[in-house]
Amino acid sequence: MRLKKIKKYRKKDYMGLVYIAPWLIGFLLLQLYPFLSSLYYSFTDYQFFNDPSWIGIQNYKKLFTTDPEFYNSLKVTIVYTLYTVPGKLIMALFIAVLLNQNLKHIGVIRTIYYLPSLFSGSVAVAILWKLLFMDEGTINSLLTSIHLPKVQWLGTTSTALVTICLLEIWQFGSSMVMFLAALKQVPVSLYEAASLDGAGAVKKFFHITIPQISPIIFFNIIMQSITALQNFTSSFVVTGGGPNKGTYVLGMKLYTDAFTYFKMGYASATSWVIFGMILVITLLLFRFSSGKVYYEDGGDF
Amino acid sequence: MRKIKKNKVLIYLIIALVGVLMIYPILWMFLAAFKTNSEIFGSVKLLPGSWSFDAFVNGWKGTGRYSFGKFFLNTFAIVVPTTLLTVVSCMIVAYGFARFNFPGKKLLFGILIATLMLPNTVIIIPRYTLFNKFGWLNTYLPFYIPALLACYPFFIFMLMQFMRGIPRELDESAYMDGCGTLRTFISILLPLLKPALFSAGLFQFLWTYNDFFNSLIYINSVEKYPISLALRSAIDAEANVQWGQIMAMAFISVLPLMILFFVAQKYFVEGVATSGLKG
Amino acid sequence: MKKKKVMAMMLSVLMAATLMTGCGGSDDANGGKSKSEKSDKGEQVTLRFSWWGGDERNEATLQVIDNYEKEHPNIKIEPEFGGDEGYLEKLSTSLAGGQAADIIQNGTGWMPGFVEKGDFFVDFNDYKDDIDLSGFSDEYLDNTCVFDGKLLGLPSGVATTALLVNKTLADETGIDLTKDVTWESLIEMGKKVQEHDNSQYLLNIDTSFLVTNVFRPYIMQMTGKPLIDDDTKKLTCSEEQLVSVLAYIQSLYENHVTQPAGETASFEDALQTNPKWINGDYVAVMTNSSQINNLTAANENVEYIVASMPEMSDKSVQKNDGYYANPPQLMCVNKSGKHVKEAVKFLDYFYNNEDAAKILKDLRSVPPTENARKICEENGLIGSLVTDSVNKGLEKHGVNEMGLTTDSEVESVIKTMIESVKYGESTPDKAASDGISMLNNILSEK
Repeated sequence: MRLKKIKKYRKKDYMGLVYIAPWLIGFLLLQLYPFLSSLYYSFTDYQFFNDPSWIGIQNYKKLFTTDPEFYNSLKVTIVYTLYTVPGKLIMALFIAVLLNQNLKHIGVIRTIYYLPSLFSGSVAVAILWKLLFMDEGTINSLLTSIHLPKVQWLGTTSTALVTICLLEIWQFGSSMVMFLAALKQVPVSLYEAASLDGAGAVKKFFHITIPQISPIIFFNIIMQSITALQNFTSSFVVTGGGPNKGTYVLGMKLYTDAFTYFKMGYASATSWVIFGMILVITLLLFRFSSGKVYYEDGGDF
Repeated sequence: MRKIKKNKVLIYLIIALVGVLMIYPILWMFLAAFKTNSEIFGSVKLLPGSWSFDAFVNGWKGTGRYSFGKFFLNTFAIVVPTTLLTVVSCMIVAYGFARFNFPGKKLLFGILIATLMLPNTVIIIPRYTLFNKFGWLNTYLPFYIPALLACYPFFIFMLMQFMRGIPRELDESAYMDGCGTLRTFISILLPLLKPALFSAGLFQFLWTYNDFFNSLIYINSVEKYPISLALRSAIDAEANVQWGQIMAMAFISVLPLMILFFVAQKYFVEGVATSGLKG
Repeated sequence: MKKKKVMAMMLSVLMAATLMTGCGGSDDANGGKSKSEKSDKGEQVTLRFSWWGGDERNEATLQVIDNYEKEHPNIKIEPEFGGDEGYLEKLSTSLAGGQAADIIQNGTGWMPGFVEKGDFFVDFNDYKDDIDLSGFSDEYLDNTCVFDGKLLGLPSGVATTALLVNKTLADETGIDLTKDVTWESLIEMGKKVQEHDNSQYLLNIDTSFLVTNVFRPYIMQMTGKPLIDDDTKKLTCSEEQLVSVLAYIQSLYENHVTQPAGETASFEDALQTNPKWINGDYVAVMTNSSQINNLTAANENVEYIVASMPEMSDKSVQKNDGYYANPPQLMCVNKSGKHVKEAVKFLDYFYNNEDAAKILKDLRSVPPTENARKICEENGLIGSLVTDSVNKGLEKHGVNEMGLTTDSEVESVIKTMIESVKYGESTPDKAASDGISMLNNILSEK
């Protein structure tokens, strides 16, 4: 009988580089190169059909001093983010806490609540929203049927922004699901111990629940803020940036400047302002959370 | 006891109310497809006066030469390859990061995490000019190639996290049997990764299906329009817009997503839940 | 790019071969002015034709396409049409990416901007064998479609700004729009209509038409020039003049000459869909002669006339009457298209074929070629309203504004100024100074 000798495979770690090769190429070509290019473009007068020519900080100067549209868009974008991110997360947390009791049919409920999130960024739903909030639309009909006055949702600058925010907040389901899962991981023993010490529901919520799920809250705030600052589709489809540029978020300004007027250099500068905002918010959040976010394994990878 | 019961009733009430708010728009969209323009505006009635499928039939015809069938095909032509390519490339890259300790790993991993927060807006313009140089505009390549090259750090990360939960001993025993790294991956890890792969695929399907901005700038001829662009053109007609038809098509366009969701709920929910948590 | 070059070479060799073999064949027995050659080499050619329009125009254009395809079975034309909202963005993006349609309906005011940015369109002078241009007035072409000696577009018609009046309602409310109209009288009439019935208004108008039918003429009447001088690249009016036109527009809303801005936001660029117009609750509408059909089709139960466009009441300060005739759109051929010759030939059919003329009639205002006009007049196909308004426009002496004044970025600023005043969010002074700042920004880059 001959024993076939099985040779053990010696794993070579550098093989890892082979496996990550696609990503490496993708990163260099489609992420790093565009990232650096757009920084470069932002300092040039690049109008797509000519070659970029260096003009220093002129684009930024224009954005911050002589372009009234910019401050408007900046304001609109920030207001939008301030409404939607807390709005979404508070709703998500509130409902998640409610659902975290042993309720019946929780599967069905979770499904129903998650449904709107399926349509994140969907044009079909944006069109639906536009239709619902038109002057003679259903929302106004509902208001008048309970003797409340009609609102010109899409025709007034302030309410148009609210309409768009509502669309986003309506889609809180995905965050809610995340919070639910996180809530389930909080050890019941903590709550029991607190009860023994005489803590009420509110105290338990703020001193146990929130800290325990703080990583998830934190993660959500960051990811949602990044998305919110880049909003485009809902403004574009529901209100077209109007009325009177009242929903003209920076994402739309970027699109118009780059793809209607071909001002690629200028639009790149706008994109870097957006990036700057994201960076600042992320850093601030990390700073703010360093004392407050509780990682069970100490936080290293 | 009474108090707890009252609380529970209150909770159920709130949940039911908010639940109605969640569903109402979608339900309305479906029913609007059966309504006439005058029923859509100025009426609180949810149900249509008559149940005719005209809006579906007429809306499907589309405008010009193309029916919504064509637009659906286009959407799937974009979404399916992109999803498949994404899952395959991301899982391979995740394997590389999760199981190998190559030189420079810490740095490259750090870069991966950093790109998680790279906003699309800051790279979109140079990507556009790059794709223009390659002659890829008005094709679906701007969707396929990033998928092929695993430009989705979110999925890489998600799959990595999942893989960390699979004991390395399994790998080791495969090596003992003489399997190379690829064999090990395919025969040992892949089967165990299935739920995560499925979740990743679902999410990429969802996100690509709903994409608008990229379609808007990369696709120019109506022949290649996905549903998102087709719907949007439908609402800027110069004459009387037939909203019933548009709602019919809008509903049909979200139907695949809803079906997919109901069938694969578990994966959606688990995917969302685990993406934010560690392992 | 290299691939395209190879394709182009192959195509030209193929076409040359076709010509050589088909040469001794029959002359086109059409007798008309069309020079379309029956290409029967079976080489399937697909052209994309993009335009915007209302239902009637779209259907007519589709019919012309169908007829052409029947006559040329190897040519397929894919129509790409919709409303005009977002058309400019779509066109810009597609031109930038070299992916535009082959035959393009273009905005007259947008042309100078495109010409400045790049070499997108075919010079029809290079294709005199494929298209007969004799029906066009040389002067008209020179004034509107020639840039640097190149004929880059063809006018789709002769059009002008128009004030269309629902005469039935006008009579009911005691408004007389058959006389000369002044800016001030519009306000007076607006008040009168509201007194009669405050659910009715004088003037159906949106931001786009405030730009073309109020803002720009008003300025030209004050200064005698278009808003921006193409040579100096500067504003021709003073800040005070800008404030005065914005104040006038504000007064239109304050005096309820038209509905409050919020109520009409959804009818922007689609005035004919406003229920008040459909129900005959507007006395008049500001529009263009090329869209008169859209508006009359929305409400066929009343009588219509065309009024004179408003001028200043004090003619001594009016430097120019501010109105002129212009192509409502231009038809261009994409230079980087794969079948430029076929595209040009289609336009030859579009403009010169008799049946086409009868089908297209006045849906893009009065036809631009002599022959088409004759055919339409003989068959009574041009509505009298369209003819009236165009004739009124032809009598005026406005300076053609095509250029920086109609540039898309400039137009966007004008719209912003108007909207901020329209929605009451800004005073005319602030809007004017913001606008001047934005305009100077833009002009400094041109």
